Amino acid sequence: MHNKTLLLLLLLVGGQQFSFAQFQSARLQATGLTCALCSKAIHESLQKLSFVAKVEADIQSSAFAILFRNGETQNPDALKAAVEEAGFFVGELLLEGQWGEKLPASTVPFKWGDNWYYFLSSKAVKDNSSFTLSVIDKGFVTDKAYKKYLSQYNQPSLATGFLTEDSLRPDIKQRLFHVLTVK
Amino acid sequence: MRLLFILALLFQFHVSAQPHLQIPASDFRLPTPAGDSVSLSSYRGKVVLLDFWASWCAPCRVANKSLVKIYPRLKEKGVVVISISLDENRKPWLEAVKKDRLGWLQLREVRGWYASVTTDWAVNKIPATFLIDQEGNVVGRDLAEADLEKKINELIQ
Repeated sequence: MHNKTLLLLLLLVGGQQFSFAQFQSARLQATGLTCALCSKAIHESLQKLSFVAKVEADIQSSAFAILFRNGETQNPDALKAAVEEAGFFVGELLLEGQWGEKLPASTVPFKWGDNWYYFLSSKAVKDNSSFTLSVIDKGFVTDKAYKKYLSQYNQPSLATGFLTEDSLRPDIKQRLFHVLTVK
Repeated sequence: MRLLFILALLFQFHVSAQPHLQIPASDFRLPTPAGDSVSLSSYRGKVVLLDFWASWCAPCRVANKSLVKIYPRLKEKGVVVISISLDENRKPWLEAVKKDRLGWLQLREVRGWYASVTTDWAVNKIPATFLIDQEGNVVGRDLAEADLEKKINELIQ
């Protein structure tokens, strides 16, 4: 689907608002030359984010288990910036939460907090079930994985990370995160 | 003004030099797996090797292997080895202690990076090890195996 069609859909239906579905936690794998879990700097810069309640190291997934603050808007870009500020890169970002009563359809962007998300593929989900989404935008997965997703999904907005570059409405340039359902 | 500048420079040097070698070492009191609390100062008179680690720290687990290997030699020389884990949770801590066969004193600081023991000792990454002499002064940080044993031999002469 093209960006223009995406925007049209968005303008027509106003996107989908999912204020009742919330991200509760995240699993963030950081990569770098040294052990990311073993560095205070990355822990500290993640902990500093206003929407982060708690950061723990998880030995099983060798990732940071991040608990979000209730009622705060989470921003994947801020997580990424925090990791990079500490001298590391995001290797994987999984967002975990609970669906509300109404489930977002794939192919329609939906809004959570201040951010727009778009499903590139979605497994069958049940109402009120828990979910895990993987963010696959540039800088949220390894370069190799990102290139693979780019060719696999052939989605123009995945290349820009924005909802539209539409000439009719150049004023609308909304950050869009592309997600896959992991669970 | 010039004096102030010189003072500022001196102060800056002093501060930046501080985290690497603290003389004397900052004391702490932390719990063992059994729940007793142990302080560093109670080992005054002995050479102490202090090791900061955590179960989720892969390089620490590798370092544990080397420490297990040299521990009998250290013990024979009367060196006290103390490990401080930054594990938030008790279970993975104890599992790692068992799995890695750490047969020396094990302590844990649940507040991890933000605890006073970690900040006092300027531990910004783990593993981090410190060698403390009989008078309670820090005489080495993150020494490689050969340097560590050499330094210990100097201290116990």
